[in-house]
Formats: sequence, structure tokens, C-alpha cells
Amino acid sequence: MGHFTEEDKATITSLWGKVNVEDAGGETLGRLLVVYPWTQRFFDSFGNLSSASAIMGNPKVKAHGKKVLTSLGDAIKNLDDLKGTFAQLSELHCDKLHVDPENFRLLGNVLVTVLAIYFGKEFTPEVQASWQKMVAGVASALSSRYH
Amino acid sequence: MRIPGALGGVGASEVPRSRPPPRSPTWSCRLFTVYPSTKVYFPHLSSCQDATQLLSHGQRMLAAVGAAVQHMDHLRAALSPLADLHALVLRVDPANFPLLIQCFHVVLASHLQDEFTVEMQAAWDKFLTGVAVVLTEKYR
Repeated sequence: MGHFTEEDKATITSLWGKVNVEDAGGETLGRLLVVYPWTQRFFDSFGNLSSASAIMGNPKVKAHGKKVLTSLGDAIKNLDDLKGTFAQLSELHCDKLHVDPENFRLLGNVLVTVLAIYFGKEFTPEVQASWQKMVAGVASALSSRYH
Repeated sequence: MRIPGALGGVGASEVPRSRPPPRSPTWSCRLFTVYPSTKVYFPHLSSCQDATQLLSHGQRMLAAVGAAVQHMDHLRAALSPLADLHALVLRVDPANFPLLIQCFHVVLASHLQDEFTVEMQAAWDKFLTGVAVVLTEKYR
């Protein structure tokens, strides 16, 4: 797993401090489900996912998106031990949820684009680099207990 | 498909055509900064300080994407020479195309912000993935 420099940590933490987790969560999960429609396979119980606007406005999508990003926020406080932080969630995603780890990579990339929308010019190549490291680390940690 | 007018493409546009396209150096520089392993394909471009070369390379790629947008319905024919180039000369590992596509999304997203709607993101991802498929189709 990638090593986070002090600069990476500062970049990630300061940007995250300005993010509205509820808004970003809904936006990120919604975009995942629209841009990569096959990811909808995990959300049969979420009701209306029949169009982009249905997905983006779906309250279950927003709630679940917030849950996912809240968990990510916890990870940001423990960047040096992402594996430990996500150990239980990794087992859950493998044993109970049966989620292909490729989905973690897709979600991470979508989150990065959502951050780019929010932060515009501030989302420089260096900032993106730290964040891609972050989401790659999370994806790796979440798949570490798969068997 | 909703391909932004920002790149001067045809098709339904959700972006005012007066908006200038993203500066080309941001492409290659962002790719090298975010995904350093991609630099191996560009040993002649020593760093992001090499502005002129990066600019021309970025412009070339942007122009190719623009051309692909103009020929969206016959990508294979339009990109055939580029497909040959990638298969016979450049031989960029196919795993790199998603990295470039991610940088493309981020440049569009940071440049267009709220105008980079979910529909636009879906259309661009579908389109660029299609371009990548065509560019690597002749590899074997």
C-alpha cells in the first residue's frame, strides 16, 4: 500500500475539512451508479434507479453515499493504518456483500472527480495525486481481507 | 451523447462555445504528477518544466480527441492510423488508458465544475473508453 507523506496527509485532511459529506456522498454514489450502471447490481432494494435524475434524487442513494463517505472520513484520521481501519469492512464486503473490489477503484475515481468539481482550480495535479493515493489505499485496504 | 462544446466537438452541447478549452499542458503534467509510471513512455520529456514539448504533446492528444468527437459514429475508420501507431510503434500498455481518462475527467470537472453534470461524465467516460478500445484493438 502507498505511503502517505506529511504533505499528502495535510492536503487530504485540509480538503476533506471543507467537504459536506452528505452532499458529496450522494453525488459520488449517484454518479457511480449512472456512469457505471452495472454497479446498480448491489442496490436492488434502493427503489427507483431508472434514470440519471431518479438516481441522483433517490434518498436511499444519498443516505448510503453519506454512510460510505463518513467511513472514508474516519479513514482519513488513520492514514497510516488503512488496512486496520478497514479490516472489518473488508470482511463484510467479501463475505456478506460480495462486492467485486473493482468497484472500490471505480468509486474512488468518481469521488476524485466530484472533489474536482467542488474545488475547481484548487484541485491541482498535486492535490489530485494525493487523493488518488488516498482512494487507491482505501480500495486496497477494503480488498485486503478477501479470500 | 452530451459531449461538451468546450472541445469544439459536434453533438448536443451543454457548454457555451465561448468557453476556452483547458490548457493543454495541464494534461500531460497532470498525468505525470498523478501517475508517475506513465512517464516511462516519454523519456524525452524530462519534467513538467519542459513546457514547449508538453504543450505540443498535450495539444496533439487534445486534437486527436477532438477529431474523434467529430467522427463519433465511425471511430474505427477515423482512428485507424492512430491505432496502427499505438500497436506498432508506441505500444502503450492498455492499462494506461484508464489513467489518462481519469485525468481527462478531472481536468473537465475542475474546469467546468457544476457544468460537468453526471450526464456529461457518463457520456465522456463511454466515449473515451470507446476511443481507448479502438486505439488498442490492433495490438494483437
